[in-house]
Amino acid sequence: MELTDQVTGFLLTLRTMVGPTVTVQYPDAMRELAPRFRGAVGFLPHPETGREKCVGCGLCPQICPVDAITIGIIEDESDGADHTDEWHPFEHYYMKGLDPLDATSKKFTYYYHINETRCLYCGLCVEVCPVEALVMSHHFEMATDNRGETIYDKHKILQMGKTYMAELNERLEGVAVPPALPGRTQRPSQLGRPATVEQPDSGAQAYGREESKSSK
Amino acid sequence: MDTFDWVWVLIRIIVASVILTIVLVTMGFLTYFERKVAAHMQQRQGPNRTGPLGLLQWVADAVKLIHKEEIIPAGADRAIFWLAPMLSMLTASAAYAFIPFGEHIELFGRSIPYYISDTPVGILALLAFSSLGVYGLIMGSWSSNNKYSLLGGLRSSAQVISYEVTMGISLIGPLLLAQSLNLNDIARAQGGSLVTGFTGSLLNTPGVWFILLQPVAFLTYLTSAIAETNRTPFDLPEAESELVGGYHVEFAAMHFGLYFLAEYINMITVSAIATYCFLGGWQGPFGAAFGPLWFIIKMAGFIFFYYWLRWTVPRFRYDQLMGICWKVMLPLALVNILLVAIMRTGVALIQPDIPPLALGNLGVTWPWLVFIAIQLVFAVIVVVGASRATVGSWWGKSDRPRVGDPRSLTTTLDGDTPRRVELRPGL
Repeated sequence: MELTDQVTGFLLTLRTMVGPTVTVQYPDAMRELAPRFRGAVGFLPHPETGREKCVGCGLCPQICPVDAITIGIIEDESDGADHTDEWHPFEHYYMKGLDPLDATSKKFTYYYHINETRCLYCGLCVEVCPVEALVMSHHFEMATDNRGETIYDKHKILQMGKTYMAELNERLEGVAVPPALPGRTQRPSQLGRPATVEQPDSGAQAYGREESKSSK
Repeated sequence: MDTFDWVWVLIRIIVASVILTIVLVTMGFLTYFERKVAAHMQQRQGPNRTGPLGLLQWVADAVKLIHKEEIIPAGADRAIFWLAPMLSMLTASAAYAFIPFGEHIELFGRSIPYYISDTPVGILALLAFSSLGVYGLIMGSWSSNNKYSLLGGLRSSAQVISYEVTMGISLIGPLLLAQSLNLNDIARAQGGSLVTGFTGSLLNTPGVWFILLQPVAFLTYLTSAIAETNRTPFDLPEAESELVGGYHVEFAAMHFGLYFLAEYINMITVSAIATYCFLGGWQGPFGAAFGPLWFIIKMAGFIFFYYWLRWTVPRFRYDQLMGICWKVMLPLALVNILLVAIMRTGVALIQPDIPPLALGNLGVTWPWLVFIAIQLVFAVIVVVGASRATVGSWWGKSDRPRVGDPRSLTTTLDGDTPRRVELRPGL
């Protein structure tokens, strides 16, 4: 209550007033998101084919605490030929029983739906994915006036992943990537193909027996 | 009386409607500026969506308030509930009949006044209307049939009645110096600006702004004017954190809007009085032609100070509020009157035809200089004394935690002696 205290207080508010504001005018200006910001779940594109890397193991719908993910798994009965050059609409492609990534794949999804009204962005699906097909993208503007649009299908999910990768590459341009730690196995995403194909296979079969909803 | 001047009547009507319109629009912009100032003092941006820079925000607010449903509580006294906000608004806006925005301007061979009425008792009428405003608050709070409203009304009546006294007594000093109750005369008595001096002041008046001759009265007036308009830090009648909203808890839509309007208009009124009695009114460095401009600039300074104060100082406790009024402000104002009366008489005795300070040379006007010197010493003693009195000692350092002192945040023990963290008693 001393005089200098009063002067200090008044000067503080005055200084703050003429100083800069911290508000980001959101719809006009976007604030830079943190690198690990958790937006909607997206498919990381395959480095070669540009399509999703999902092998249909069924772990993500299994672990999802709010049942936001619904997938349909189909067994591969292909002829063993390489079909990676071909492009068809995903649904038909999978319905024909052809794997876009690798013709030797045993299982894959022919639909993959995420209900964004349920998703709580915990990231468990991303962590559990054995082939690093999923990523928490930076997509968060999901407001819509149509309830059906809140259920994201494969195209949308892959598109979000691609956008995320593009942003990430732009941000990481010129940044040196540290070498892998000794003794650590190479991440599956750094390979064209997951190193251990058998594991998700056997796992998915086990889940397929228990989890009827994930293998419609 | 066969040549009744219809044009004169017409001019008066036009001037009155223009002034009323300006006041209402200004009030709208004042809410906008308050929000802007508040926002920037909190590192926000404030309204910036409605219109360019958000300048139309007040229009949107007004339209919303007018379109809302007016809810009258079941237990309310309907007639008084209806009447109270209107009374508040009416008394607030009626004060503008007595506030001159300048002298007059020569247009089309006629002298067009910058005021509605130039009554010889202008300042008395202003004080009367500003004290009538509290009836709107009391009636509204009583008729709401709500305990929070009633508490707000009680506080408001006590506060306004107390500070009315201090406010009136602080104004006696400038009035003694100007020897008039007419606001235009008071402005004329203050000569011109501090820079250029004389622009037509009367003989035997100081001829400089009264803030130099009446610094203590200025401080007491400023404080009591803030209390009079129920602004922070004296906004106990509203006190959102204690009384929800105080007297206007039950009021919705334009009923509330009228109270809101009245508060801002009262703010302009007390700023206008302060401008006239202490800062020379419409006097400016370039003569009286730009009178309204200078007047409005000075008033805007006061209003900005209101905003600044609101976002800097927290609310007073109720007993502190009353203590400051009756134990500090009132004695100070009384001592000030005594001083002014003695010195004004002394000045007149020494030199009956003393010219205004800005007009005559300093050798002739030395009594005014002595007057100013004594008043400034008085002001310094008051300010430093108030500061040291709250600390508890005139020369030593304060025992109490100060701003930025880590002690003010901790209640640790020093050895075996617990540090006493006591509430400061009311002044």
